[in-house]
Amino acid sequence: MHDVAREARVHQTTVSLALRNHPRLPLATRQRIQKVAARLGYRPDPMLAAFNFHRLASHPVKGTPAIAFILDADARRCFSQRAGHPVVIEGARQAAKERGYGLEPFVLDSEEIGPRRLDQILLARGIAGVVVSTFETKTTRLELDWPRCCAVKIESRHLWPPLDVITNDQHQVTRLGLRRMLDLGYRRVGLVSTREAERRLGDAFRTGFLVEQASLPESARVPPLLLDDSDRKHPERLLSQWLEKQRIDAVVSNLNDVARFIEATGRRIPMDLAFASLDLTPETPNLAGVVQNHALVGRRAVEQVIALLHAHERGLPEVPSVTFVPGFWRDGSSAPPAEAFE
Amino acid sequence: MLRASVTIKDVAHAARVHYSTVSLALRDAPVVAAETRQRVQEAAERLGYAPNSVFSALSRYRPQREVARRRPQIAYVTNCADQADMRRHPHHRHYLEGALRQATRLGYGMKVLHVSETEHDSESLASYLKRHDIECLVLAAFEPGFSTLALDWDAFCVVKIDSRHIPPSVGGVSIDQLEVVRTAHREMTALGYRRIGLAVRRAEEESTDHRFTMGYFIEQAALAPGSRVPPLLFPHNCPDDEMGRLLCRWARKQKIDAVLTPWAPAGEHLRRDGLRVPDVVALALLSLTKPDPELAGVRISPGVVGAKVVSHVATLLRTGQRGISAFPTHTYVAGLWQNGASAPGR
Repeated sequence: MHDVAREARVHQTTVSLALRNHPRLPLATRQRIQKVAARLGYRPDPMLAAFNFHRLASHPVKGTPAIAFILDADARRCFSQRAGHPVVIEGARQAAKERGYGLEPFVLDSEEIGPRRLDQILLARGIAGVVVSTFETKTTRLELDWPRCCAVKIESRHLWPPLDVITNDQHQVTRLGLRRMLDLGYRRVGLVSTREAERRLGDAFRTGFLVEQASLPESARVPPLLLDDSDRKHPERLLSQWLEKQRIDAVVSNLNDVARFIEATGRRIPMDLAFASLDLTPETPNLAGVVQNHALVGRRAVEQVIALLHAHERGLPEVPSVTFVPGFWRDGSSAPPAEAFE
Repeated sequence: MLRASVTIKDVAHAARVHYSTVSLALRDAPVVAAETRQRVQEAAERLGYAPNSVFSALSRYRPQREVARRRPQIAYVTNCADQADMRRHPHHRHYLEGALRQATRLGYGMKVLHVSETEHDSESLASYLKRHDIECLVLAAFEPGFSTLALDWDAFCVVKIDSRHIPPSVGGVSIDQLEVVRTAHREMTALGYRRIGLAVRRAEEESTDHRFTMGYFIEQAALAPGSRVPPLLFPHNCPDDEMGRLLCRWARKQKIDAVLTPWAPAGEHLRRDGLRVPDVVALALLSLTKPDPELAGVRISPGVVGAKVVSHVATLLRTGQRGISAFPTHTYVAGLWQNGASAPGR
């Protein structure tokens, strides 16, 4: 096509139009170029043409730009375990659709699609907008051609590069959970979390808990219980000692199975002790607690990518930011008003 | 085969309105009657109309090219008394500079307005915004203890800088004070300081939803109970000299060897009281905005906060998100540690 263009002294796009007999070109020009092409023996590549036809047929509205949603193959396990993740993608997809973008998930896998291959795909597809979704802590770097991309991360604060992050607001979630339990009339409210979760989320649960306790009288402040990996599976004894020693009347936790462990110590919820979850899922309809707003996390991530695209802000930010999405309280039978038992 | 995409005119035809009304209705503009908006939105939904992002980008681009056309305006509202008052607070100046730069980049104009006894009250501000056809508001670092604002929020796209203590419930942008305090606490501990104390104005604590003390308490929780220092919160509207007096008294009483504070004159007041920096007390300033070999502390980027707040309000305008939000999302911009002579290490 380049050869034809040079020979006919026109641009290659003109050649393309002429060979398709496009009416935008004067008839004389079309014929002149067609003759040159015939003389030089130019033929359109049928494979390429077939590919183009196929591509256009599967994209009825031409030119819908896409935003890539990159998933960590290793994190697939937690996708099946944590109810939040599919909701994040759905929120992102919906937000993209409303703005006229398509959302395309890509699963990064060292064997199938690695970062280098993904880079080629994004470049070939002309995709600049990228959402890096939750990555497991064992992946520490993600090498893509960042100067070309408008990108944000969901959680994954441990992961290089330092992009803008969108995440659930665990500080607010914990503060809200504690405040609501106090409003319901509980006086000795304790927090149970794991050292692993606190490491991954920058001590977010304890930070929220401590600042909210700072405004309480000394008598209402309960030291949090942090579980090690080793006692994560059977924390009943530790839990029982802590509940006893701290005279606890209500527990808040990001771990929903803590409710089960409490009952395994012989205490009944809510008769002996109230419980509120800090990450309610649809599978726990009876629990009171805080619902994390996973769909809004996905939506905000896409909105920020589109804002970067509009402002042509590519590459790594000068200083990174974190955007926190708040959760909301839901009443449940595991935490009725405290006076019901007096 | 290419399917002809549904255009705004198809929706207009189906809903029996002008296509400019369709555009307004899909952005939820309050100027269109609620019934009409709903009818148009239903028609758009039925026909499968989605705005074409290429055209959206074009329409964003166009106002920059057509000089005659008025650029959309963003009102940058503060409760500093006036411009002179604003210049006295360096962070206000940096916020505004960042916001102005980004507004220019995105093709918006910007008006700085003051809510104060000498300038606007809520009513006069509302009529000003109406007269100038301004839909975008930035509530920029409202100080607790001064004038506040009540508007019909549903008519506006609103984003805050700090200002967590006042209505409306909308998203905002701030410096990440939690991480700023944690970074400073960690660095000072690594430098060998053992009695580290945080001093911050109560007004700043409240307007940032207690994020200074959040960072402080979580770091102090790692210390033995005997090494913990209660933070100093300066009262509202406290004059500088009084703040200096409170600071020195607290530092002596708590036997503090390192002060963390965003209050820039702290060093001067400590010195004046005989608590020489860094010989007697080390100092980490939490509000550095430029490199300075004299001062250790955390470099913050208020200019980036200003830029982000404009990007966010532009996103709200594009997507028609007006009024208060059930789940306001707040964005925090990171800070960077900087070594300096005020904290040489023990």
